[in-house]
Amino acid sequence: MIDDVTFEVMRHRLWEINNEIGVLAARMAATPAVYETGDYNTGLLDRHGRGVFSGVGVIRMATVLDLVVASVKSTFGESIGPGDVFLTNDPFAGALHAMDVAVVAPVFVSEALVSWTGIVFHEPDVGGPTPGSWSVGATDAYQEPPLIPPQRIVLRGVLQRDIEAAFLRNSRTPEALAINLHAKIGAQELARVRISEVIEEIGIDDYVALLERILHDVRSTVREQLAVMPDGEWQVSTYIDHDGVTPAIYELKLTARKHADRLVLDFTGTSPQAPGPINCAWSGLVAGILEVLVPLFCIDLPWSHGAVAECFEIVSEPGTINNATHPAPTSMATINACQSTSDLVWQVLAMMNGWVSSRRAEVIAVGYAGANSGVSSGRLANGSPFVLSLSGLGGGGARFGHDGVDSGGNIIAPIFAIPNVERLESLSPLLWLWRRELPDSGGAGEWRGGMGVEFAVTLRPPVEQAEVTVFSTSWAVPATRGAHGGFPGGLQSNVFFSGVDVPSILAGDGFADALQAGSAHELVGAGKARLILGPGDVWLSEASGGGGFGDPRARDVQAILDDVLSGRVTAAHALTGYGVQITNGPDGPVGVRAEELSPLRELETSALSGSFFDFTDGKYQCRRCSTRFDTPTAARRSLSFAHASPVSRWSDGAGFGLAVLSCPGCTAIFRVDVHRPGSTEGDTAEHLASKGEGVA
Amino acid sequence: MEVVGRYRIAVDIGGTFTDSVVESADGQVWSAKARTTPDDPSRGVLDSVRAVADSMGLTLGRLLAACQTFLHGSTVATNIMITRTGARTALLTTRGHEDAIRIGRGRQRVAGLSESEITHITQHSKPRPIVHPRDVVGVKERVDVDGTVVVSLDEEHARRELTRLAAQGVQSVAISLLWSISNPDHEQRLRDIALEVMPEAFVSISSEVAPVLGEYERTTSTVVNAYVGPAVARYIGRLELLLAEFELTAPIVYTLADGGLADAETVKRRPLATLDSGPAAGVLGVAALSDTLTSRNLLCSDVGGTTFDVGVVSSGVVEHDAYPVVDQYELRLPKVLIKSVGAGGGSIARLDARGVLRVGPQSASASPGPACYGLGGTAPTVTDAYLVLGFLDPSAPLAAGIVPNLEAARAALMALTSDERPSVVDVAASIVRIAESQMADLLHRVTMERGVDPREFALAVYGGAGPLFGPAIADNIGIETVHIMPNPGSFSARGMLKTALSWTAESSFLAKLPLTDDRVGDLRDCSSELAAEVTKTLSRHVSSDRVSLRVSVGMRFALQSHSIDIPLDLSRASLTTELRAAFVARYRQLYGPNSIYEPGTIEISYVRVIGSVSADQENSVMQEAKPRNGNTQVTQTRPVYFAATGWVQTSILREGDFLDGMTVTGPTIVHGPGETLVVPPGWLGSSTNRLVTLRASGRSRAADAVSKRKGATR
Repeated sequence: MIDDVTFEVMRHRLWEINNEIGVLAARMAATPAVYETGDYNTGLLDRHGRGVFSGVGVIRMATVLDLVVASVKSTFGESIGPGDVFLTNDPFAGALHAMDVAVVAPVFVSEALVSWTGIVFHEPDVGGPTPGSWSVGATDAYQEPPLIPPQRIVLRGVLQRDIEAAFLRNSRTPEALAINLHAKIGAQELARVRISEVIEEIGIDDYVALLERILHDVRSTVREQLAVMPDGEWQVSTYIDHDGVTPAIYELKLTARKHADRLVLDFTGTSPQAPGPINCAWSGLVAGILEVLVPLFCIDLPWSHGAVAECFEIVSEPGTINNATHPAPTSMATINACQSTSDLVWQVLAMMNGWVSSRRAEVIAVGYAGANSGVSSGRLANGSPFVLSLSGLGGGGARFGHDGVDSGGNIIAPIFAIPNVERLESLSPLLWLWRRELPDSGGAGEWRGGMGVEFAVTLRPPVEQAEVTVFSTSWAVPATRGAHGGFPGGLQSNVFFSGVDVPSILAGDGFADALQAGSAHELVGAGKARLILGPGDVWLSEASGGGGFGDPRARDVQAILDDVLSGRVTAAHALTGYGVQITNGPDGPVGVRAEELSPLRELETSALSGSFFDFTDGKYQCRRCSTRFDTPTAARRSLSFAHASPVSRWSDGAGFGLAVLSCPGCTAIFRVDVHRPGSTEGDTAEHLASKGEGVA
Repeated sequence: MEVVGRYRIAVDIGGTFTDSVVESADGQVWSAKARTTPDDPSRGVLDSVRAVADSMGLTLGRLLAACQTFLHGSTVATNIMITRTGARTALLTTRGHEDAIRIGRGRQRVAGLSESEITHITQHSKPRPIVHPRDVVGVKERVDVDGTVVVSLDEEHARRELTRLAAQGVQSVAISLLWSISNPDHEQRLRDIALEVMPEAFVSISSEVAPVLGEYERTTSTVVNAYVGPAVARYIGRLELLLAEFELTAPIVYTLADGGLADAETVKRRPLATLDSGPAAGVLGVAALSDTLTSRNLLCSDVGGTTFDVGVVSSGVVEHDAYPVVDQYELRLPKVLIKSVGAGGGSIARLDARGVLRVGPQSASASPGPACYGLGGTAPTVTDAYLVLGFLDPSAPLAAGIVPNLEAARAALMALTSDERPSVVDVAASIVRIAESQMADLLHRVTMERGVDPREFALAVYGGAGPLFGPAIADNIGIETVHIMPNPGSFSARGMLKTALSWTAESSFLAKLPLTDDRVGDLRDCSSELAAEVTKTLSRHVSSDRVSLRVSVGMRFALQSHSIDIPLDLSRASLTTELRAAFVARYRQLYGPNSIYEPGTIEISYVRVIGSVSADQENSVMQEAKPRNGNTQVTQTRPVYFAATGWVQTSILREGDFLDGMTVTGPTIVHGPGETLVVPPGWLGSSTNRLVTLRASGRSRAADAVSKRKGATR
């Protein structure tokens, strides 16, 4: 039995080892996506392949390592031995998508298997029809990059040159892929040495006991946290508005049922898998759930995704969009079906946590989902080829008591960063007209969603063309959502302008309006498309802001004025979105609440269960006017996305819109849902079955 | 070395105390401290120098008049950043890119945070802005990557905006334009205009402050420079005036974050470079002494009340930080590597939700302080644990001047007892072990990230709590030698007296292997220029024949961003072959046998020349003195609880009892003024010319664990 001080000491050390390995691997990496952007992660697993530590990189990348190890074990069985290292990029063997190449290795001490380690990098290109391997237009897996089931790249310490050669053969960037592969292998070997040292110190038995106890502690903690939440059922939906081939709209649906410390996540009703690369396999479904639950439940605890994975049940039908079967195309899995899965779980947790006072600080609206990116490729002025990844950067969801993080990026990638404009211009023939936080992109709320980033790119002479592949979601239906009465962030868009007089735009004052005034434009109503950028063409890309929290009319007037003065909200949106008129007073601009809803401010919201609402005897009760109601009797009103966020003007919403539910007594906003075409019903539902800790 | 006056004075402003150290031409050293005076730090400087003059039996005026060099490390710039009390600063940047500083590449929300903060992903936030968004001006101009002007500068627009900002009270102007590193014309022109519009303003341009690729970090560096500039200039002016009143004629020389020295004019232009210069001085001090220590590979550990700071000296050379962060803003400035973890005497122990004992990072700080201070703190801290275990003298004042209250410490620790830790002593021993292992883990991380084995290093400890923690931390990671730096509590100030002793010059130099004859020639020219620069700089302080140079190149695969430093010997005939072989060997050593893709294209990325100065009379403090009578007379003992042995009768000495040339056998504790030196069981301590060295030699459990680990990995 390991004593608890050794437990604390070694737990800290193993966490450090797992993160150190990531730092070293990133240092060896040959691609900006890894060394500058942070699109990688590491994991340390127990001898059975259960994740005990996820690194601080992209969480979903570490959470699939358990599935990768399971595939390796089923492929190689008893032949797995000391010094072996395995790789795969096959989503049907646990990888996320073809570009997220996973490398895993067993750790043996004295012939005994004691642990597994793993690492995933996002690779620049692993082949397939499209530079960067995001295969716009692919209708099945055969039109995508080659999938490589588990291979033993290092056998008993000896690198297998044949497997290496086969792996590199299909890439447009073989040297970068090779250096990265060796970086990942080297990292596994370093991890093995460090773990062996720990075992030398405490012995195999205590090492095994240590990992068991960490998993046990995390499992118990997650279950305790579930137990204090109210029992009930929550239904939420989200949408993918283009499948990579056609602008068809797919729905993902989650019904979460919670009883005592049991949580069932039922995805029944989700669309069948698509004939386009947006699907994810089982790996993406599991990762999409874990990337939310691990950071939300493992606060001040190791990120033991293997333990969290044992705390819920999944109900999902194979052949659906987030549980696709081969040969479904999956090259865009991460930022489509996988990300949409986590958007569903974020929505549910924001509702559930809202009813528990001790967990309210963890309530966060759904923020930017990482899905507005592109790849540019072609030739530089000197004739050499380039492939450049262009990650979008959106805003974070608002929290209870805090605005969302402006231009913070996808929350599940804590150390993610975009490169400097100068770095991007040094690697490509492109020129950035601007890169800025887009006003009004953050979802309105008592606490505002973080702002998304907009950039505009053109070609730099003498180069006359470059290819651009864009892949985004949320161009027709927002993927971000507000929480407890907050509004979603703006829609994302990619707009191509042609015939632009670039120097006059650069020398002028305007942004998108100036582009629109002087040139022809076309919305990539596709969300996903391949285009050629030529002289005088400008690509405008807008990432969504995060969802807001609480009724926007309850926002502090001074905070709205500050937002207007610092350029985060326009005066027009202050009026339509928040009900505040900005006027010029004798000492500068002042804000005046136009529609009187201020009494909400006087309620101490921290005393409330939800934002402004209690739950008693099967009904919601408004804290402001004491009116009792349930969802069918709530007041409702339909709004266009553009009304909620003026940056959504490029799209008509494809018939979707917002369903705003409010208290029938005083109009305090209770929930902001999306409604489907031809309906005014919102797409979420909440049925509280029992009193949780926070339910009055 | 030419002696103008008789004394060299170093003054270091810390958070609580301002330390002064004086060294005479014949190697004698005095030190003293005074309370830091945050409202006007020059007052604390004067108090501190007066205190040291008192201890020398001199008046302040006499000491200053006889001063040859006055070295000064100031926290003024750091404090301005922490308290956000800098000048109202405007930022002029390329239109369309005004938000670069607040987008912060997205990662600003976690930059420089601890792992526990990074993993709490719902709670991230960006730092408070340094420049208000309304004070950011988008200048109409554009230069491209090659330095070509795409849009010429709209001077009238810039002038109008500057006039508006001046009227609104802006005092300082930062100018940072895209690609000013390729073509600084627009930045220079804007500076002229800014100075025409507001002649009194402090103006910084990015192509001078941080001429590196990457507009975000270049802009933050320029903005911080402008933000702290006026206050730093005011402070320097005030200090010079004050000291001149007391007859100081020697120029004041300021220490920089990279360990270099600068005169007042340089600091006024580039005050940014003084950020965090205090901790750097300690590391520099260790490096300066490294020739006379047992190893030239040293882990520098500064143990204070709230943080544990680590720096690295490899082969006598100080390691630098490639990615410095100040208050979540990533900057580009040459800076000594300092890694910190929130662990120290004030770290608070608690039980987490699962009943597991945790220590830190929350700290009781100096106020209210540990429970045993009796200043209102009730949370159990590491200091309380050490007191209960007998390490601290319950009857003598601690560093803060407070006599500890043992009962208060026991009462605080009592709250953490459990079935597994039924007694207060069990709790205390557990807290100490966790705190020490966290410090050891940081040392491990810092060395591991550099691909070196910590066991190849000796530990150099300083800071008030350094001698207390040192040997236990060393035991944790298998280090067998611990050097206690002289005057550990004020060692950073001492370190300043040594800062001129090394100088680094570096130039970016891109060349793919194999090197052509032309490029070899360029390489030769480049390294000669750098060598001349280094020699010239160091010759200001010592004669050039004492300067030794180390020339190296950065090497990497052409697609990588991070380089490895490889020694360069230009006299070799087959340079390409040798460089390639050295790179491959070093890469394998750092990252493991299968980490390298040998067919990859390899390139040189920079040339670096490091000049260092061999030890001389200045370091006489380290010279061997004749041993006195072998062992000390022990008159007092006290039971002390060591992890390896449990309670054991321990010899207690006063600092005055532990004289040069003596050797003591652990367990022994030596109490100095505010400092406690621990020689654990199985360790020997020896004092040689005021420098104490501890060596693991006995059969302590920890030492056994170390040898076992060593055997396993070899």
